[in-house]
Amino acid sequence: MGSLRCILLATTLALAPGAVRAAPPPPRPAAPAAPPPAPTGAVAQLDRLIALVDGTPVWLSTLKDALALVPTPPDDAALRQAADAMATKLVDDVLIAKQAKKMRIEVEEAEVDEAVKVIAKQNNLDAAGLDAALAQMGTTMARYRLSLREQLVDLRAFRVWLDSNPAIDKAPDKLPAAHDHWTAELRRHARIEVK
Amino acid sequence: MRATAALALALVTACGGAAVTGPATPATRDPEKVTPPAPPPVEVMGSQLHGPVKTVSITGGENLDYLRLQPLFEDEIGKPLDPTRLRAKLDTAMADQTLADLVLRGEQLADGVHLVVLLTPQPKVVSLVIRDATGAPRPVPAELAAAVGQRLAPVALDATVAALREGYENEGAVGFAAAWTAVKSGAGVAVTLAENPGERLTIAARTFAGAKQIKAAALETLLAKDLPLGTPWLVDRIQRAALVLEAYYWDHGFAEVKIAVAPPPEHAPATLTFNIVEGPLYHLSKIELTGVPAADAKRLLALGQLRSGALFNRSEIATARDKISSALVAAHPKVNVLPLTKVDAVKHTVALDFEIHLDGGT
Repeated sequence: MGSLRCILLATTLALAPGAVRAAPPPPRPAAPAAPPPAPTGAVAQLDRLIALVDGTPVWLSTLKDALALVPTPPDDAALRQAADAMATKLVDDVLIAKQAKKMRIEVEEAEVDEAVKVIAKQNNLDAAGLDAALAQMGTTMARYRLSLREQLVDLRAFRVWLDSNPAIDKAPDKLPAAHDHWTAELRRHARIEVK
Repeated sequence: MRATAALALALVTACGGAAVTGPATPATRDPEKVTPPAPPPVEVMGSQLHGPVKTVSITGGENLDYLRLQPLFEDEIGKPLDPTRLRAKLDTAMADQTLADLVLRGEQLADGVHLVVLLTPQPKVVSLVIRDATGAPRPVPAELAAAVGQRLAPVALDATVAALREGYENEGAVGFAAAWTAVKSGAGVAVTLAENPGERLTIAARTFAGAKQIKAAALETLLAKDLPLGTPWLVDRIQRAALVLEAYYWDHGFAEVKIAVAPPPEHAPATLTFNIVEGPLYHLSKIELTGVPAADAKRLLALGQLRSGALFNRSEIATARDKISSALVAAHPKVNVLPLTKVDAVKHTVALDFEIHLDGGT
């Protein structure tokens, strides 16, 4: 199930200097059997808030959708860890989107088209092959494009922050730490309420 | 962000909790014994609910909440459960921040699903204080004092904080801060608005880090009139100055120049530093004009007076575009001339194509 992440990583690398080729997506294990229909009178929690980020809600269903696209953790402890990490990422995504909006950063549809082409090429896939790989990962091209758009916005806003902070080490191997530094700064100035 | 252990626990249940396979075993009837309380409803996963939404109930809020949310969720009646659509509605429900929390539940009926929207309104404000950087209280303006006794209004508080920040920024302040917090207090929340006006800075000196091929003196001259030394540290004007510098570089062959303003110092004296990455010098390569017959293209291109091999100059390209447009506008009032550039980062050249749309399209 790690193929989407693999492809997402490839996008980031493709847009960064010294891009590397990503491995083609591995096959996704067979999905578990669908649970049986609920009996009359049964109740279910359909959704709830997990956090409010400067007033913007982050929902449990969003977290579950995001977790469905990463490798299944082997046990409950690992699931908890993955859920915490993903919840933090979702909060960061909201903060980055807000920051990008403040900076009037926008991504054109053509840029997303280009990113899709690059990723397909890096994975030796044509358009139909990429569609199939995404379906195998349990997602759709529409959702994938949305995710790519978010990544491009993130990348652009991050670059603006890097440019205005000459003291930050911009060596390729230091960029993940710089990104963490940036998001930590965004969190420090935000009103985050974890439910 | 603090750990979300509770969240993770709920998630473990939600993601991996065992699916219910059938109805709960009914209690044995025995008239000699007291009837046991009804068992709690069976909890299932959302994906196990089936059938269309039949009914909707909204609980926990106040009249205004019902009036606002009833039409939103009753619109779901007759439709199958769609988590993505429902999430969009939840976003709408939370958008004005009048609610502190919201839970959506579903109950399986014989012929569909009963949707339950559980609201938690924002708590009442029991007190509101403003504190300065030292923690000392400051007078509370009447419009803010009126919030006491009302529901917490994050949108209004955010607007107050944003206005404070903008005010500080417009005064050339740095290191300012403004934020509000709400802490549970009795039956409501106590709101504290912390403000630190920061320090007013003026630009004492300027540096152009990275300026090599363009002399710093030339750049200094460009800014001398609109951003003289002694000007307050005004972010908008400083950003505008960076654009003036960029435009100068673009007119001198530096098609890929990048200029960023270094963050201000915390205290006076303040030196304004422009971090400049000049990049290589670019020259024009192929110059084309498309969208009109070849004979016209040659004549129009000559009007532009651009030369292949010349140093890239954005203003000259803009002037050429205006001349071409002026030559065409009498016969084609809607004409649109698009100067499209193709940058070759290896050869350091820019190919130019004036794309003519006589009908005004793009």
